[in-house]
Amino acid sequence: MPTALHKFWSALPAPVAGLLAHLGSVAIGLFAAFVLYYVLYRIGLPSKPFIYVAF
Amino acid sequence: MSALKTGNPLFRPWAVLAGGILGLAALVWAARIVGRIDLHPNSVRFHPMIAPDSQYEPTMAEMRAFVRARCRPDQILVIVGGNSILLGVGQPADRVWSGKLQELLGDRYAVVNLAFRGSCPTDGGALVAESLRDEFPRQIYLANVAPLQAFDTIGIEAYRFILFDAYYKGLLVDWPPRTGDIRDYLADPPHRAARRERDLAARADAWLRFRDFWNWWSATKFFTFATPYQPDIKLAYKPRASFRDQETDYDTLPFEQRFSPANVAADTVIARANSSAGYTRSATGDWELNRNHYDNFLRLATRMFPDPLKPRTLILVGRNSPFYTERFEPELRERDELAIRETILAWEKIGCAAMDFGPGFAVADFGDRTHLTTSGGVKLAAATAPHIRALADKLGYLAP
Repeated sequence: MPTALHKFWSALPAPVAGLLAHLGSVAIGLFAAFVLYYVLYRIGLPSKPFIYVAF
Repeated sequence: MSALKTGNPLFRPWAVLAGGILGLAALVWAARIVGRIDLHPNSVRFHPMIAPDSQYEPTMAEMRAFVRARCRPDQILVIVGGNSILLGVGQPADRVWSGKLQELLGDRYAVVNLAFRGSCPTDGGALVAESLRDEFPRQIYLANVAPLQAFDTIGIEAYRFILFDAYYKGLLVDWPPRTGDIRDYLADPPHRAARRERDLAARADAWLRFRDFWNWWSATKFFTFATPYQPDIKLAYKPRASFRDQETDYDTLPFEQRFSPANVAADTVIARANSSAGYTRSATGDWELNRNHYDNFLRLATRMFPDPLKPRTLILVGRNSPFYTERFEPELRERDELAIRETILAWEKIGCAAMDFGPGFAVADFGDRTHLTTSGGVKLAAATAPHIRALADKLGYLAP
């Protein structure tokens, strides 16, 4: 952790730091869900376009 | 006391997990909502920028919403499936044949074009129609085939994502031949691993609906990756719904370009072979039906559509451009006519309605060997409309 952030974090009262940690963790979880949701979609798509050939 | 000294860690694993679950739940909820939106209000069909041609795979929810936005409950739903011929390749959106069909049929019917390039009669359009059988019980499904041509119940590879989407979301009727074909497809040893992945993805999507969400995002916000179909990087990420249908206009494309010597040489071979597998010459010089080929065609054709849906299915048997057929020997033309008649009879025997494009098409009605120009589309619409009305009448759709 960068020094300035460490100082800031250390100076926070415990209940506030706990709340921020929880909120930050939830946000990370939300972001992970968003990324997972996209990856599931993206890996299901073909890697190349469908090239149409008349028959 | 500092937060760190009191043992306040920066991350709380349970909160991360809760956030992940909450996020997924919110996305699934959002996907269910956006899945009901018509993402393509300005489109009359799924043109290449909203089709697999450009790595965009429409979902069942998306196509069902497309239909709902174009058909009122009091109208008879006419879904056009099949391939590029019925999609209207060569006909600009404002002159596409299905639009003309709508004009001829009038407000009592709603014609929705769900054909795709290279698609077959059991692909997307058929599945969407089947999935809407209860919501729109007065429906007619159209698709095209070549003479004595039939397909698997599970369509072709490029559009199988639609089948899996429909199958795992429980939108289809129980049709044992199709269930068996899906099982065989997944178990085919050379492709088992890759197909298993697709199977798992479709099962996951049935729960999580990520394809509905990201198609909504891709259509309305921005497309998330560059595709070789759209090499202009400025356009690659544009929302797909913002692209216009820029179908080639065969009426303005020079004849020499459409019928270049190379095209003519290749298409002559294909056109001459149009019905060749179905017939052999007898000792007396007559055409005799090739029984093995016919039986195989009949076996496949019988399995293509679930029994309850056959009576509302209208099969259009296609023809090649007279540019080619007029150069054939008379006996070759005779063989093609025999094959068309035999194909119509076979589909009727199976329980579907069937018709052919008719002999009244001129060279100018075709943009190439098989695709129609605007005038050809008008003729096809005029030939098809009476069959649709007759079928609607037969099925009791016209009763007050």
